[in-house]
Amino acid sequence: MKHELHELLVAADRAGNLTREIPEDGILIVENYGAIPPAVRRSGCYVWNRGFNVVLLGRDDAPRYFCKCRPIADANLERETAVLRALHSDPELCTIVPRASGARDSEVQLQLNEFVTGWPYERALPRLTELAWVESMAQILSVARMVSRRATDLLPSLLTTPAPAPLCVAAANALRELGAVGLAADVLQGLERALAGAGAVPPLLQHGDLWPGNVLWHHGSWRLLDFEVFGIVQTPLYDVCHFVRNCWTLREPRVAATTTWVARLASDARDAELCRRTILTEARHLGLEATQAAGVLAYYVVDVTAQVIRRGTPQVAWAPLMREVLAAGELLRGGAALRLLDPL
Amino acid sequence: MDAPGLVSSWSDQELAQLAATVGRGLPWRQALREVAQPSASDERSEHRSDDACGNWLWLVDLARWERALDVQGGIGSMTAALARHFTSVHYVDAARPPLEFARARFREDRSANVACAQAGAGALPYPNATFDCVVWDGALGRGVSGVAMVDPPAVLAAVLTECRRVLRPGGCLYVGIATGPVPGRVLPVGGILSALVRMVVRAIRVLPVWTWRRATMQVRRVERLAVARAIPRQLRAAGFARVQAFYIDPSFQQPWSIIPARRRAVLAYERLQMTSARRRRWLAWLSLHPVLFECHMFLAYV
Repeated sequence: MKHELHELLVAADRAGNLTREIPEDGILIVENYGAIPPAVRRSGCYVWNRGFNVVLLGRDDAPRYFCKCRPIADANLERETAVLRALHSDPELCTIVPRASGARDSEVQLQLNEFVTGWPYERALPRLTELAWVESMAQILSVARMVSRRATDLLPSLLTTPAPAPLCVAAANALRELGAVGLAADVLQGLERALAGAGAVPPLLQHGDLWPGNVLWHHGSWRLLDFEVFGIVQTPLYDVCHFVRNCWTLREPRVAATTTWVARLASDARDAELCRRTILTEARHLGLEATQAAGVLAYYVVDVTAQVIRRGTPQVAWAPLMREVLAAGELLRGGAALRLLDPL
Repeated sequence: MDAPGLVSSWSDQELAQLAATVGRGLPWRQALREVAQPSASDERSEHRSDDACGNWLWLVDLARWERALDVQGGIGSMTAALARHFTSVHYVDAARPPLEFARARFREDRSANVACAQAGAGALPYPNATFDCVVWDGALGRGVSGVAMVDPPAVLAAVLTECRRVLRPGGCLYVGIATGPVPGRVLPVGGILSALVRMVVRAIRVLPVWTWRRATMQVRRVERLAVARAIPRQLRAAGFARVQAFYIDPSFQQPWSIIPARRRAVLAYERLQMTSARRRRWLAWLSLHPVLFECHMFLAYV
């Protein structure tokens, strides 16, 4: 491997085992998103890219370490490493959050993690029975809730404001961005009204990308992965909405291909009822009313769509999310309240 | 043999059109979008597909990162990647249209460390031991001037020897070779195995067309075994001391993963894949992993 990368790996390896364990050619590049150093546009701006990830293989070619390599201008990686170190230092969280360390030079930065073996929830999910699905979701969301609550104590500097934040204020930028890509004014107004009606929610640091691919069953407990955007979203129940939507999409791919999750939630289908019940149960654990939960659901679809658009991804990537926004807008048409999550 | 997404998959007419389009003053990205990549939606997506193709450089162990050469550089994607790692990069291509396009591209991007020249891969216009790294991407995907393409071993021998000549001691040659599942001629390398493959292909020609096509595709997968064996042998014969083999998955155009071509490494990779089929894992377990991947990459050190 390139000498520079080797030096950084050695610098990040605080235990000093890496050089002994990893042979020179024990490197497997996965998730190769973009070049390091990154391409520069004519305007001189860096093109958004996430570098690449590496699995370091031991002398027996078994995975030993997982390493994220990013361009030096990427602000998320250093932040994620700091978050992981703080969370891993907590006795309650050290079995949930991976241990990580980082290093950087003038061109590249990396984060070195111990490779966590286990069974990805994403792989198990489609084959779970209904009961096992609901139970596993409850367990995972309970773990995520514990991480969020402990993180708020461990990383108070991440909190933008300790006071409850009105959802309509939190969503203002995202709504503006959706308007800029052509979302109809009446849909925007309906969403604004619903968000204003839901009022304010107390801040709680969220994982931000809690989907089944970032959850692992490891030695009899759930582990959470990929804290790259941890704490950027501070609206409670956001992770729950993201997780339940993605679980539903993976379990019901045929239905998901023809209808939106939001529209499905409004239906009497069994899977919709299970999704609603899971969200409401979590809302109760978080001390949120049903109207607040519905407001967070609207906030979630608006924010997650705006995030994907913001990354500069082509329309084909964010069009399905935009359909979720339109479905929420449709339910709110004519000033109706979003009653998806009214107690059953 | 075909390299998906490389210049070899374009017709001469398209290449000429590309050169003419940039010749009229159209920005190269726009020309590429109009002529070669009609599906590309914006500047960022173009960059992304171009970009990640150069990250194999992080696997290379070089003492010096000064001079690099892109042989048969095509539209210059790999040259652009090299230019971000090396002090000075030379692009050569025997064909005029891609050369004109590359010149326009690097002029527009103000890439001061890239020089372009017209030259064939079999006769490089450089003295011995000039470069730290030489890249031959899409190997055998296009013709090499002065050598008949009907004889791929001769092409490999000619180009690899020439690449070895211009490399400094400790330098590295990258060879990217794609074995596409397109019906057509079978690469006659790999000794007995290739002979067997040819015999099977001849045998299945007597079958109905649809059966023949399907069977040919299966046979081509077997042909990848021949590539995996023949290229390292050719590299050693050309004077390279150390050869490392990798697979690029799923394609050179979208190099999502770069996997060491070793049984347990491939097994580890397959276990990481959400959609990996049991049959793939069995093939890897049986050390038949070359049949799983279309794109093979070799790093050979002097």
